[in-house]
Amino acid sequence: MSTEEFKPNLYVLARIINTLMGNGGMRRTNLATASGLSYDKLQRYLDWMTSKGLVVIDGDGYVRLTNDGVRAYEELVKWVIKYVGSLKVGRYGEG
Amino acid sequence: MSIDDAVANLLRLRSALNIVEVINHELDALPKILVRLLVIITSTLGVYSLIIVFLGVTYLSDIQLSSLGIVLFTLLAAFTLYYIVRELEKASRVRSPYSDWDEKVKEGALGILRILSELDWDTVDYRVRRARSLYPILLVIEELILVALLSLIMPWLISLIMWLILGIQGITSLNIIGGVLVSIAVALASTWGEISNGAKALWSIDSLMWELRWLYHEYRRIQT
Repeated sequence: MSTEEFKPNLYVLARIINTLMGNGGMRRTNLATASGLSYDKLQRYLDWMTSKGLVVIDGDGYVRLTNDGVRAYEELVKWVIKYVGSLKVGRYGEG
Repeated sequence: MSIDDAVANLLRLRSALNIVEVINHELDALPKILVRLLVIITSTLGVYSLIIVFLGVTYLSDIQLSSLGIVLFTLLAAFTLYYIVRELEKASRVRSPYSDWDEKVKEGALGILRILSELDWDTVDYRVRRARSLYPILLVIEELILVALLSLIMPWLISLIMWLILGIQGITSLNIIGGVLVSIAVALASTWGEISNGAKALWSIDSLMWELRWLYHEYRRIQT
């Protein structure tokens, strides 16, 4: 699957970033275990995230979050608060 | 606006989707209920016809036959009503497909993203649209059941009152028509609150559909 066609699952993306935010730089195998993903799936996400500049993988194979990565997570949280928070669902439960 | 507001909204959304699920389950149960009832009613009427043909002419008088008919039809009507109410009630006891949301929202924004990414939007949209279009049928059926139930009792009650006040004995066609009309009036009066709630629920489901589509659109937008 090429990175152009790849549409990330936002939850998986947020989970990877969240894990990296909590642990700092991590090896791919550790990151896969900590974020509950298979190695292949993680690799697909890392390829996509690298192409978007959200993470960098250094020469020792450590995956590190970039500032853009941190900002992407913050954007996702803001999105959740803005859109889910403004759902007009006040009266539905009464029906 | 905070993440707590988003969590509270998501849980309210779940309540609405649970109502949609109950309506859908009741709608799913309707064809099965109707087919079973048709079989039961046809069989009972068939047995009654056989009794008339084989026993009625020789062994039973006209009065005995018509008494048997009245008892049979009353029992059949009572059973039919009881069966519909019981089956609809059973169908409304649904295990919510969204019961795990409580656990997931504990993760905050991450949990909400998980819920949204796991939601089968097409199915949810279909079930919400189905509930919105067919919910009036359920409301009408529930109202008709009550009218029918009251119609079984009212003519007898009116006859009793006529006998006590005016000394007129027996059930006339006037008593039956009056009984049905009173039943409709009583049913409407006693369930007016539910009818109005039903109308509100319909309106809510309609709005819910648009809210969900809007959220889905925004979700797809951020995903790309």
